[in-house]
Amino acid sequence: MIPASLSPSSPTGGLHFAAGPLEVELAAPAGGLLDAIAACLDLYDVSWTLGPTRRVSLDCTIGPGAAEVPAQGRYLECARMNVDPAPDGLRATTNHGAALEGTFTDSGEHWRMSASRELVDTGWWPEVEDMLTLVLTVGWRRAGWVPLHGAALTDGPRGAIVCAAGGGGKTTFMMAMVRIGWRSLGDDKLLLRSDGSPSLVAAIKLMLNVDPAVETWFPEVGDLTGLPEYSAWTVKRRVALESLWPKASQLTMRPTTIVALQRRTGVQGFVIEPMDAADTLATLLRQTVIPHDRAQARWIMSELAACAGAAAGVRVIVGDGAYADPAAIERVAEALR
Amino acid sequence: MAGEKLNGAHASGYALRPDVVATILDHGALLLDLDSKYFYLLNPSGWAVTQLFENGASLEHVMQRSRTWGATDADNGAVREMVERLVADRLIEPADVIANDSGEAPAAWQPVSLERQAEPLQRVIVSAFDPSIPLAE
Repeated sequence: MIPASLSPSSPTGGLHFAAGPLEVELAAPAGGLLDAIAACLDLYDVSWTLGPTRRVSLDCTIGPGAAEVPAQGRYLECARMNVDPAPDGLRATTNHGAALEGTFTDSGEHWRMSASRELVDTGWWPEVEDMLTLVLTVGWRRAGWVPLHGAALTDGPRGAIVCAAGGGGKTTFMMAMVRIGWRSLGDDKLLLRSDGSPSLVAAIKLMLNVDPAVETWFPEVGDLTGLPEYSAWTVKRRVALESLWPKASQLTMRPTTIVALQRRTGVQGFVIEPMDAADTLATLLRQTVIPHDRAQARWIMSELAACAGAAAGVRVIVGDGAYADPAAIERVAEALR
Repeated sequence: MAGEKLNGAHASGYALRPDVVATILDHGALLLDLDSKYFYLLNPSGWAVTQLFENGASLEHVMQRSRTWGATDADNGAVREMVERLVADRLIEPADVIANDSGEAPAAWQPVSLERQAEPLQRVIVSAFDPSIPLAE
């Protein structure tokens, strides 16, 4: 939700947001661009308690656009954005002429975003979100944390990272586990660090992306269709975890199991299969972005390998009607180490 | 013929491509080709052999070091096949300057294995956070 203070009539920003271990200072002209960035940053609703934070500044302007030489994707190649190394940081350009330039120092990063007038006037915010995601993921890595796409759960001694592709059922699985007493660190964005010690997973976003259809299995959720849609591309709604299950959130956990979640029709209930070490590591590797940078790639691989090496791997196949039997999820929980 | 396949580049030997990065696992190592996005799992002997290419090595040197580490005649074919696979998948490339380092012996020699994962990591991604979002057709 966009705070009222960020309405288009607000003066040019100098706004502060927290996003995990990052303190983001945002400056942008009042209007749609500022609102779009602020709405994205507003999703990170966890107060960081795991050590010092890093400063990240993001100065945004609206310009003619498309004046710069397009980036080639030598650091990262995205569908709507390419990123190249630059002498003191990174440089990105998008398909619609926006540009982002980052200068890195030991204490933080300074980014300058230039969005084209066309992009702003048409409200083509996905490219702005892409650039902001780059700002955040770079900052998290430089703070020593690997961004990981997954859900995370713990019952205290046990911790599970739940891996699946977008739309693969992580949120529903997480909700089923929470209902039997597990706590959640979120359903989609996590930070992981190993750093020579047992891996630690940290929550950064406890706002869930929930398909209203889950009311079929979780009547306590109620009718979510009245809430605003998460984005134009999905029927999911944003719902705070604690609003559904108070005290169900957890901010950190030590992973003991990596769960690869797969939907499969024609199968009844849950099917649980152990994964070998190679599949377990491969499952984690597919949940993070590895830039084309030797040092960073090596570090990310090493962090994930440490996590996978100390955890058991389990493939959980979610068949037809898996959530219809409330006792079935208990058997899944028992299979987690 | 395998020898021609491996030595036909007028180079002294082979070296790991700069775009190939490795991390050590409890039992072997993980290689990732940042260009193709394929990743590979090596057992400790396979990793010991592959490490020889970090500073460049000739095939003869690799075979000799493998024998020193305990490779039997029966294992030699597998070592050669693995090197051929490293060349075919462009994990190593011809190099004129080779160090032929002694390398680090595996704790116990076993037949080398190099396993490529069936699917590469996403090369072009949608989100800089989530590599699993499929690209639009």
